Amino acid sequence: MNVHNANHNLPLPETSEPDEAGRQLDDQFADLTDALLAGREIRASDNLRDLASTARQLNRLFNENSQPSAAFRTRLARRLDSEWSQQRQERFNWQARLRSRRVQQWGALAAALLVLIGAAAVFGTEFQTNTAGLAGGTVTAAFVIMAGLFVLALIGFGLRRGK
Amino acid sequence: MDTQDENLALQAKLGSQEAFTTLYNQYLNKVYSRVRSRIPFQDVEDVVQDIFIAVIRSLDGFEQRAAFGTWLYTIVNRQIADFYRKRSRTIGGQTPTLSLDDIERVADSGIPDRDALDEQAQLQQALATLPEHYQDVIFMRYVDKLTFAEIAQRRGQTLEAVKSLYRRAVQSLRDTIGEKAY
Repeated sequence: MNVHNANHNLPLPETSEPDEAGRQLDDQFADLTDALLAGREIRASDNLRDLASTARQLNRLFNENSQPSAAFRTRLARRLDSEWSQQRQERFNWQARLRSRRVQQWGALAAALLVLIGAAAVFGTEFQTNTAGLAGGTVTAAFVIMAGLFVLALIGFGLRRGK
Repeated sequence: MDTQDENLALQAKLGSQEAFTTLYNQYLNKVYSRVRSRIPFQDVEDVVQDIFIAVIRSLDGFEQRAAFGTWLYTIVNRQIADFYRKRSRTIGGQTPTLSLDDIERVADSGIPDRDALDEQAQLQQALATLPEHYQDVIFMRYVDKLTFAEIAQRRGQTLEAVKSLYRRAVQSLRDTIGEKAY
């Protein structure tokens, strides 16, 4: 973007290192803005007259009619209060659902099945590669089957206790 | 970063309504003022309400390492963008501005005069078209009332760089208003 100061014809730098003349204008304009926002009016130099006018417009835009009315504050506070309660309730319901025994049991079942499938995949591969007449293959297969039965027994026990 | 705000946000995230209310009271005027400068008058209250509802619903996503103000203003910008997206769907994508109704209504309420409202509408339109970093520096100085040194700290820039950015922002605003006037 090639922005120029209309009065001074100084290019406004896009970099963060303005030249000396630009730096002076930056400082003057910043001081002028500070004074304006503090309710003081200082005379702008010719170089900054147009910018000072825009700064005054900005000050008016942000100051006039820019605060919420008391009626709106009350309405908003009430609406947010109800939204807060609703959110809390929803979160509580969700946490309660997560804590319920049934969900925990199904979660445990899913986790156990995943472990079983994972173990079967790992040991199953090993079993196929080790079965060429070696005792290790039989031992691994027996271990997978026993572990599976054990997990199933645990799940069954858990489900029965939950009823 | 104002760690007090982040701590309050964290407490609110953990369920403290009191912490949320403190943050809300602290930021309501700033949020309102930002929205007021970018949204037609009659829609400001709805958008401000939507923003704070979105804050409540998004609190779980707030992470303490982020500045609360930055996080909040991201929600403000998103809600304003949503407003214009919905509006452009219903009325065919007009430029953000004060409508004639706004002008009539506010003029009737006896607050600013019509010329002032025209001026505000122009300024509002021009402001909405500025790049985000220009808008940010203007909002930080005029709405959040941060000093230039504080803005520099927030933005991680030198004081000189921020003053320069601010002058470029206002110059760009002025140029945009000038272009629209002809």
